[in-house]
Amino acid sequence: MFEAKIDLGVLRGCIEAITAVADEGRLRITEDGLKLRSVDPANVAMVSFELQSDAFDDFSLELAGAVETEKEGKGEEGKETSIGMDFVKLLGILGIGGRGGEEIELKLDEKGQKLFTRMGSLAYTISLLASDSLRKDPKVPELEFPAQVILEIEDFKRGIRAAEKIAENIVLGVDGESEEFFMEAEGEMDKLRLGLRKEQLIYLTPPAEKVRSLYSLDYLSAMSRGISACHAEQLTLNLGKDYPLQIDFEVADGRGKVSYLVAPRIESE
Amino acid sequence: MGAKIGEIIRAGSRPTSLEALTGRVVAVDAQNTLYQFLSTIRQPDGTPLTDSAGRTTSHLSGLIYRTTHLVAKGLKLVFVFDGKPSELKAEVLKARAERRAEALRKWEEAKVLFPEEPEKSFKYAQASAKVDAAVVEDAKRLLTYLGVPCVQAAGEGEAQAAFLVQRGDAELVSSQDYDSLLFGAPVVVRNLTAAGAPRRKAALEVVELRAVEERLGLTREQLVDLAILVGTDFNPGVKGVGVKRALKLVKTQKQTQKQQTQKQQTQKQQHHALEELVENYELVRKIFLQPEVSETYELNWGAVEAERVKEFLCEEHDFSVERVSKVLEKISQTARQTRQKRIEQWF
Repeated sequence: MFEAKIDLGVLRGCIEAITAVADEGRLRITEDGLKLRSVDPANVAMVSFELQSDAFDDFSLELAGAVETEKEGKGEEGKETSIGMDFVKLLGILGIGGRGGEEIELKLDEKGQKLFTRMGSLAYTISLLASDSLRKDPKVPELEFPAQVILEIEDFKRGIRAAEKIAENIVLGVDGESEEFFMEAEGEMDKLRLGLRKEQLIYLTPPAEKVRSLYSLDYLSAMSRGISACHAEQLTLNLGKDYPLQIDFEVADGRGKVSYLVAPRIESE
Repeated sequence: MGAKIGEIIRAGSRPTSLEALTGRVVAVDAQNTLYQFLSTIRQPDGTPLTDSAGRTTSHLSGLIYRTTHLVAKGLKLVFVFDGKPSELKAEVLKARAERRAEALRKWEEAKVLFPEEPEKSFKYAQASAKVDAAVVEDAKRLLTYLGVPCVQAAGEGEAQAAFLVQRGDAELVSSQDYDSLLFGAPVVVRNLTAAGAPRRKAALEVVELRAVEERLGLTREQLVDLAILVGTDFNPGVKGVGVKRALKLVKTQKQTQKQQTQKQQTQKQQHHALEELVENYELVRKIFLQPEVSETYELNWGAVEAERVKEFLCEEHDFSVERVSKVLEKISQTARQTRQKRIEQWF
């Protein structure tokens, strides 16, 4: 049996962040909290999500007769279960719940494959997706990023918003020599460049050479909205040359984190 | 066409989109695709498209307007052409020729009997379509000009296409029937070459061999046995045995196999039982499980030779210069565009 209580606004932000990439997925419930890793239908982006149990006001997980899995590295027995969740549907339900500051109660009926939710006087029972109808969890990609940037969310959002007006794709890069992070977009008529020098950033690991990659704004705009929904303050961008982009940020005041990965667009051979 | 087990296989298909296939190498079953073009791209009364000399051009129309739509979407196509058909296919080929002749006769009849109702003759016209040597030659010529590689199969085109995927030279097979799965293709996409048709009804779908195996609880070998029982292009199937019964038969054989300790002994027995039911059982099985394939082929995606395409289509076959130029412009734009990579490349 899984039962939990959490601030409605926090949960809504997290689910909105997930839906930037995945409409549905297998949400793992462990003693440590909630976890998810899911790839979008076109296999272009991935979202990893973790919300620790202490981000909840109440969190209890008791699994009678459920599969007990060996916890990695610790040698203890860890308990977990997983549920197939339609995140778009869940987000819609959370949206009618009420204002922030309100609490939502969650209760899983494992047999019925239903999740009971209660938001004040509103009770909503969500039918879960059959686990076998979902795609298998993606592997963890092995990536080495030559450049890392930590910046204010607002700076990133401004770059994305400006690019959306003129183009379908956006370049993100770091010039190691001038120690500058830049965002560039080019439309049919107009060009845009947002450059942030090291002192305008929170942190910068400059690469040995200049790195830049092109990404679809379809993905980055959705991610930017997901980031806004979580009220995070700073973002970590991991970058390379014609390489995936990894965006990390904290949710629930540091008691959870979201990580986006998006594959680049490249010049055709 | 193909094995008659489509229905139970189709149950495991899932929808996909052209966008999800961007940048992927797709081995196209040429015979099947050209047949689709010839049978569907027709005038309302069923008359195929022709040039001023009366030569059929439906297949060329399909290639230039529909196939290029896929190229423009960033798919990398390889057309795989049939080689020499198995002798066991002779019966099927003969029956098809008879059906075509019959359809042709009925079509002529319908045109006279119902001149005001062209839809009555359309289905007969469709059934009279044939992919002949001239059609294949035309297709290869146009594809070469379009920079799309063609592979000549040793035997069955679908077996060769499956082989390309197994070897890692392609990622999926495009065909309307599911024989490629029996030939060992891990993923088949349906309705791909219909995409880009003006009134397309059928949605794109993919079927994974592994998913079919898991859902039915059968191995590929057993899937082949199942197909053989209900009938394939190489054998007529066992009289009175439908898909359900065949599934039972194949599964009970699996059980006896489990109960026995000596595996080889059982396999022999199993085959023995099927051999009694099916003529040429071992031969048909071998066509699917160890098909004859060509290992010497080259896949080069070349540049589009716009002038030669125009010469061939517009001058020889009376296509509209304007429409063809538009299509060629669209592909050349694609060549300048960037391609979306997929994340699993870094897994």
